[in-house]
Amino acid sequence: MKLLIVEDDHEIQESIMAYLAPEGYLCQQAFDFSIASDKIESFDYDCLLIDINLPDGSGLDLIKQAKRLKKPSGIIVITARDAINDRVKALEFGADDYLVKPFNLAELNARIKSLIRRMHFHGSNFITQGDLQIFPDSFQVLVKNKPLELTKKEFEMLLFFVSNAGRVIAKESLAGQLWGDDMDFSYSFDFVYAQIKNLRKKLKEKGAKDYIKTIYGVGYKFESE
Amino acid sequence: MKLLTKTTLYFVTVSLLVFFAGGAGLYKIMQNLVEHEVNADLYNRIHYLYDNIRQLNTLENVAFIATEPIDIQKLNKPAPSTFRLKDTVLYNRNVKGYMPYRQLSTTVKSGGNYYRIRIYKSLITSNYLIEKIALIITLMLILFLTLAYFLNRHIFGKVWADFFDTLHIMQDFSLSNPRKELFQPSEIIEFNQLNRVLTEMTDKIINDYETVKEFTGNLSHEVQTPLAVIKNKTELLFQESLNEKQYALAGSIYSATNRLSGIVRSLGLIARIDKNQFADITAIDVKVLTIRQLDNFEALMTSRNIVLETHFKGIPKVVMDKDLAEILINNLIKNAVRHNIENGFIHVWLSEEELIIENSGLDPQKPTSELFEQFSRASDRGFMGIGLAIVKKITENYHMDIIYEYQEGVHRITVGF
Repeated sequence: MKLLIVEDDHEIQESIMAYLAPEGYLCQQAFDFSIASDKIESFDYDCLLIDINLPDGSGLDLIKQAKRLKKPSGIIVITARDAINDRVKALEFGADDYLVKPFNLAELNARIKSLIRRMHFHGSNFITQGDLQIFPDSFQVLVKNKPLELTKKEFEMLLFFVSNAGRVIAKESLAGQLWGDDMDFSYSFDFVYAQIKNLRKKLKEKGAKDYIKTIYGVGYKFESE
Repeated sequence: MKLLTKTTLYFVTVSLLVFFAGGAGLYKIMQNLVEHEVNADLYNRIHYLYDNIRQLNTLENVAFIATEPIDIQKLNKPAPSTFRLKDTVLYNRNVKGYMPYRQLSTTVKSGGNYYRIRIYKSLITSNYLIEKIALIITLMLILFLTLAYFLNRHIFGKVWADFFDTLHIMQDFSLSNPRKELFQPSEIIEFNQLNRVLTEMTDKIINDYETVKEFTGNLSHEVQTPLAVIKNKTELLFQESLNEKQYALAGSIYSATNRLSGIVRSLGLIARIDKNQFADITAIDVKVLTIRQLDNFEALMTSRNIVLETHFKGIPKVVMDKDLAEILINNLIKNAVRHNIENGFIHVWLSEEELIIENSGLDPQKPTSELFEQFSRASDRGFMGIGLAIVKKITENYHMDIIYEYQEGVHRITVGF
């Protein structure tokens, strides 16, 4: 998998690179519009991650360029929160997904995986994680080939966990995943806790491994091994 | 109390006091004058009689030219000739009744005999005079008072007109929509001073407000990038093999950054509503939106045993920005869930006129109107109550009515479209 990350802030670039590194992608960086434009012109990427606000141009033009060149890349844009018009335009120009700054890396990782999955398997895909098989499009889960009944929220949570397998995920990221971002009041964490308890119970009943580990003070970790 | 009512009240009170004191005083003075006059007349006449009777030694030749009653009696024994004044009544044959008289009596020695002289003067005319004058004075005073009252009102209206103009201009003043209001120059120096002070003050307020708005707008925008960096670096830190203590520390950093980011974002949102940056207006189907938001919170409600009841009527459409509509409904429902209690309830009524959201909850311990203020904290659960401040801002922006009521464990927010 080849990724191009177009982001002018070096710190954020580095963070994205560091977080995505264990996924084994081939990541390239572009810190401004002209370099990004050159790279899009010259290479084919599986995924373009584009910040709309660049010092020497608009990320929107990069989307147009990629589409004009009929590049096979999936496109995720990063926008500032108050740039709703940018978001709408980006989707109109052919972007596949968007993230609003400040985003969390677990979310970004899940979005990239989901996009790549959709592009490469055209809907008939599934994820295998240990003894789990997850079908993102039909909301089905198999544990050792036996179906596991989950609620919508539990399913979303499991998918998010599996997308970030082996990573420590903050409870805020999970709550944000379930309701959108500013739900950081205590009940929502209680709820996250209750959901995870149920999920673990259901997985255990079906004889799956106890994948989800609690990281005290932070959140949870889905053990990949 | 209104300015006019207050001044009129003072005026009437003081006028009435002056009127009664003055009237009573005047009446007393007139009474004394008339009495003095009557007495002087009686003395004149009695001296005349007295001299006549004494010199003539007999009553035969005394000239009784009298228009008022006179009574002369012969006494059997001597008596001192002292003068005595007295009020009395005499029977009047013409009117068939007793009439008031002033009597002056004395004793006179004439030709070895003593005579008692009593002369009278009718008080009828003088009393009548006093009454009439008093009546005239009263009427005059009433007339004066009435006139002064209306004159006062008229002058009041004229003099304070400029003041009321200023007051109306200030009442219409709104920070979210500041127009440069020009005060009309007044003939009254103090009002011109007032207008000048007000102009300076509002200019300063508008200026400060703009600065603060600009500041929050810039702040919320500029601060997001460093916050994103802190957030992402902390997430990376989570992936290192930390010990329990280090995880707890990193977790706290992450939570605090998230909260800060949320607060700054909300402030930025309010600043952007203020700046009218949500100009994209479409007809929003509030029912669809409400159902979607309720669905979003359903699992959370179930987890706390909160019973939801909905009553939809008609097809409510509101013309407003799509994002703001989403934020409005989301914040209202989030608020109802957030400040609810275990085993509580949420009731939603939605019609074409209004949206009512009722929820069980604890006593906010403060006036409900304050709950709309930025950073008001309804309880120590959760962070700033900025959600309702945003709700208020959005409803203000679209001139919707919003009422927050609390009664015996039930919170109710009504939004009139």
